Amino acid sequence: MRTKRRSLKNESAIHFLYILPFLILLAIFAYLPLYGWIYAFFDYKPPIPLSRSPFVGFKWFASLVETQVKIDQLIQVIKNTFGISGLMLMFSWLPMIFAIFLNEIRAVRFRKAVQTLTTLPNFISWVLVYSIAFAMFSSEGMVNGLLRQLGAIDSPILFLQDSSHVWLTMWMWITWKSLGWSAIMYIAAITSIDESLYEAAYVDGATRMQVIWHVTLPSLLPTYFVLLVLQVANFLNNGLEQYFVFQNAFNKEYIQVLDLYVYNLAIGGGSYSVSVAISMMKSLISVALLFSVNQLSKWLRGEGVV
Amino acid sequence: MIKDRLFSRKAWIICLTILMVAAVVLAGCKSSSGGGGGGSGSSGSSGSNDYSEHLTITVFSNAANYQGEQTGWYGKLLKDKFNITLNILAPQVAGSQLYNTRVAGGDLGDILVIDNSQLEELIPAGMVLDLTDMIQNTKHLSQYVEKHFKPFNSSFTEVNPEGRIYAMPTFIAPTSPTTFSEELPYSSPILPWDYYQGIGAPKITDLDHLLEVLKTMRDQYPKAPNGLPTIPITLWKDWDGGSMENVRWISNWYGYEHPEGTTTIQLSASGDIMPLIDDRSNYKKVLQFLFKANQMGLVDPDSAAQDWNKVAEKLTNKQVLLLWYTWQRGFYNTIARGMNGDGYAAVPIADVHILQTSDAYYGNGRVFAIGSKAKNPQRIMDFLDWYVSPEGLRYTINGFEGFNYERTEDGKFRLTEIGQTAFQDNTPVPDEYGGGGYQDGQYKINSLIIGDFGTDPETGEFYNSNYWSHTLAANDTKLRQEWQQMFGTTNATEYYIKNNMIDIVPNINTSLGSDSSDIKNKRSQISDYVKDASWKMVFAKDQAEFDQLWSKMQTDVKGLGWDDVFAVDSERAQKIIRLRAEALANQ
Amino acid sequence: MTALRRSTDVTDIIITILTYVLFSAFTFICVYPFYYIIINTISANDISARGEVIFWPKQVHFQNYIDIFKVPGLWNALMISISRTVLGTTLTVGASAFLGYMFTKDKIWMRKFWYRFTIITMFFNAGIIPWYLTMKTLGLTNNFLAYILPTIVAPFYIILVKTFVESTPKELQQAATIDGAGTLMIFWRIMLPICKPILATVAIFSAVDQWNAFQDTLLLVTDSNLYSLQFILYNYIKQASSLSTLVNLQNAGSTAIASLATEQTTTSIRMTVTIIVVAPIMFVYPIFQRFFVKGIMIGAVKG
Repeated sequence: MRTKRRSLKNESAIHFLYILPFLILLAIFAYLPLYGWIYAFFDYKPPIPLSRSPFVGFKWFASLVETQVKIDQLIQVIKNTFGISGLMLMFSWLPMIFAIFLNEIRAVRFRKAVQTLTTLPNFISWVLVYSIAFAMFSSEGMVNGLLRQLGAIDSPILFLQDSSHVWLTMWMWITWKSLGWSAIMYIAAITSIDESLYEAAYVDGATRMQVIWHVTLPSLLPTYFVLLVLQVANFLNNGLEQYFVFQNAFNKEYIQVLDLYVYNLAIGGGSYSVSVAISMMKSLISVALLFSVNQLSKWLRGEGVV
Repeated sequence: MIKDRLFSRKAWIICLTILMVAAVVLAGCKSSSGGGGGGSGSSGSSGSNDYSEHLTITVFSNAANYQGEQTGWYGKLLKDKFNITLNILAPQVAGSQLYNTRVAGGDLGDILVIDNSQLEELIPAGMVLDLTDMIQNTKHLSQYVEKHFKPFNSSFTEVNPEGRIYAMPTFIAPTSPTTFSEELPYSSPILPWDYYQGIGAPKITDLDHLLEVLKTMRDQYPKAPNGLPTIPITLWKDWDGGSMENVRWISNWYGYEHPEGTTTIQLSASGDIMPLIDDRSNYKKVLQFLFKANQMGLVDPDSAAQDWNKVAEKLTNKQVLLLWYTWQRGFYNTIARGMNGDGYAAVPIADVHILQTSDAYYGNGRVFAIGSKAKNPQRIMDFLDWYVSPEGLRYTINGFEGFNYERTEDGKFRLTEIGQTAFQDNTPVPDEYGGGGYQDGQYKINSLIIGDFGTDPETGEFYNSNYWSHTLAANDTKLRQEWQQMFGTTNATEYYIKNNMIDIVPNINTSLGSDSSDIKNKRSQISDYVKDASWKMVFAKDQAEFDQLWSKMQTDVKGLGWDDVFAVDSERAQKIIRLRAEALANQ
Repeated sequence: MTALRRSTDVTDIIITILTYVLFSAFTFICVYPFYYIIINTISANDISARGEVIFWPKQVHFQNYIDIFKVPGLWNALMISISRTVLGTTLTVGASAFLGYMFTKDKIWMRKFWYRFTIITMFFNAGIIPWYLTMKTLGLTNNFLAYILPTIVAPFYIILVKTFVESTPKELQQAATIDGAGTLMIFWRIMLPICKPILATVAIFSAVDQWNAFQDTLLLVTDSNLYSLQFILYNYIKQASSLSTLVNLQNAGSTAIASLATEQTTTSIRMTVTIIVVAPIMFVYPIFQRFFVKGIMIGAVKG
């Protein structure tokens, strides 16, 4: 920097150079492998190289809706995905509320204990979650044993094979598992709130609820909206493991979300190209959703997220 | 698109430096990873055993359930003998994607233990070594070429028209193509012997009668020894493949098998191909049996929600009354219990006609091959030759003489006290042998070329210690004696053969071809549907629902492409039938 | 900081009581399953398998733990896991902090484009084969850097930091700019300290990701010296659950199956593995919590 006055353009170029190495990493690890989407248009079976695989165009995309039975299946799968993702969206504010009220607790030890202990379920793998669920809810499980002792039932209730309220149960499991963990982000955000705002509010004689409503909540909303937008973009990605461990012939109709459907398709050694076709479609839909919601947010709130 | 003047010199320098550092780091790592095994210098001409350089052999094994280096006593043995270390890659651990990615990358490994269908893909891709010439120069492997390796390799007519030898099948039993050496068919009715005696040991006539027997047994013995309730029949879902696995194996009792590699058919010994969804199929018959059992309250209500691990616990607790796989007995049966007449035993049903495949004369569906990029094929061959030699087999299957087994005066082998339980107890191995637990140090390739039904030339007995005369004598329990007294034969297989209640079909071993992507997708959708429908049928409310589910399945799977998949499977069945006929003719 | 809270009314008290009750209840249902896991790992395995261990351990033993600590290669794997966690987390946190901060600046050539370029990669799924081939071409198979390099730029954390920075008063940066501090100086002297809470969050998230990761090991690493703890434990659990494949090879010999069948992984081993993996996290997490303290008195800066 030989001259003291830097031109605006020059500064912006320097800033770009600062982030360039990171963008290169991203290009290598995230963008480069995307050439693999081309597999979706071929009938690719390793070890036969792509150059010798037949080109099939949009066959795999079309094959998802070939017959009426498949269309029906897919519609049910989409319904389930919407059902469960919808529930998640509807209650996406839970971690924020969790953090807000946790922050209101004055007993420091209690607060810290809650904060730590509620993250525990996040670390239990779904496989193990299911074996605990089995210990509690199977026909010989704890809950049925208790109900029987109380004389409430004669024959055991088969909770795990129940086909009603599957979406709700699945939502409850995932909330139990991730609530404390997701709240961490909001707990961190709360600390960035200017302390003087609180002081001012209390000086004005605000009640606790009023302070939460007028100070804490508005400060957390930016974080909330960002996460909400990302969640919407992730609408189709419910993940697999949870639904996989909980599925059985009886609840399958309602538990089969898109990810599980794709996995179940691939179990019989389903073709690689089909799975690429589906993940490509999901990626594109996610990005499209991201920008649509972003646009929506611009209209509603005057600012976008990305 | 970026113009030079936008950048100050300093910025350029920073940027370039970062890029260069990144490049150096990446390049440095590449070179360090490249020189893994070494030993490519010694070309190892045949027979010259230059083992001075240590060699790491990468073993890609579908059979292995452990990934990592072979350690423990077996690791030391190989190190001492061949100066090699086996580094095992296990798709069962790392996931089936391991095969796809490594194959796409062009190097699967040095020793490959893969499925027949994978071999069929790899031969035309040039990824397995042609062993024809190398195998001629071996001492032990060469003995098996004519009778076992050649017929197997030649059956891959499309990819191997010249009949070269690319691979050696696994678990070969060099008995004969029509012999069945085990004491019990793979799947047959098995009940707790003492309970069966306790209810008066009625002669069971058919499946309906079996249900009544189970009911009586449950009513008389409602609690297992540990106080938990008795469950006459328990099912599990996590092994389901093309259809409901539990149904599949009970179907065998009535003469139809479900050939591996097909999902829509059942095949009889006489070559009758039955569509799974046919109204007359055994598959439906068994579903009906389980449905009826459930109506009578004999099926574990947790069946649809539990996995195999849970079932294993129930078996260990003697909670389950009806078993079918031979090896399921092992969870509860012990010699000590057998002495008291306690334990599970085969109880024939009068109207069964079991279908059983013979010993794996041509191997059992997987192969040993050598990858075309293997660094030192000759040394690998030397190891594999030892692997099928009597010495190698004794070590691999039975451990150390003097530790696991001992020679008796009559020239046979007898398990030592340690040897009887070394596997279960993971007994510590003496340091001179390499230390560590016995089980931990066992061979982790988990697959053999010549299996444990090979005959040890020195003793004239199988390598499998369960069939040594000394072991059989030690196992002569009250349970066994009672059984023999009641049925008048030494073991169940003999009983079924004597009473003409079993068809032993010749073992065949080939690839049935892999599915086109189109069939693959149809197959998995159909399988998925069939499994769900089957489970729902077993737990249907009443006969009407059962029938309705069945007929809905019959129509729906057609919409998923049943006819195409069935055509493929029928063709495969024809190949099986043809090869079985050939095996019989060759005998 | 609570000194000023003087206005208390009835709703306030009710809310307080309700918060305590609800948090206690939720904490209980989070802790109990974990407690259940612990008591089952130290109870006799057969009693545990029968489902009789519910409230307190029975016939306490530690064999499950002893067995796991005897797994070969465990200590080396632990070192690998610690290295990848420490190194990976440090780099990820640093990169996220820097990029999160940089993306708040208007003066970047095509900022909006590059930000979107970064963010959308979150939703990419290229498929496993091209990913593997890319890594192989880069020489990242059997290479410790495979654990680190791909995770450095993490869009989600960048968003978190960016949102956080945007919520802090602009005056801080402005004041510093007037004082003549450059971009990097401001980042180092001002942003890093202010962002402590969110960086602690990113650190926890990314450390747990690193600590729990084993998918990359599965496909990229065949050198057992580079196996991570999670992989070794995963291997240990998997060893016994491969019965089903063997069973379908009818002629594998019933002896082989029988021996495998009886060495099934009991749930208690799975549970023990969970405890061993989670324990370090539970030990480290409270340390990070120290960064979640309210402290920024913006007023002071403004004055």
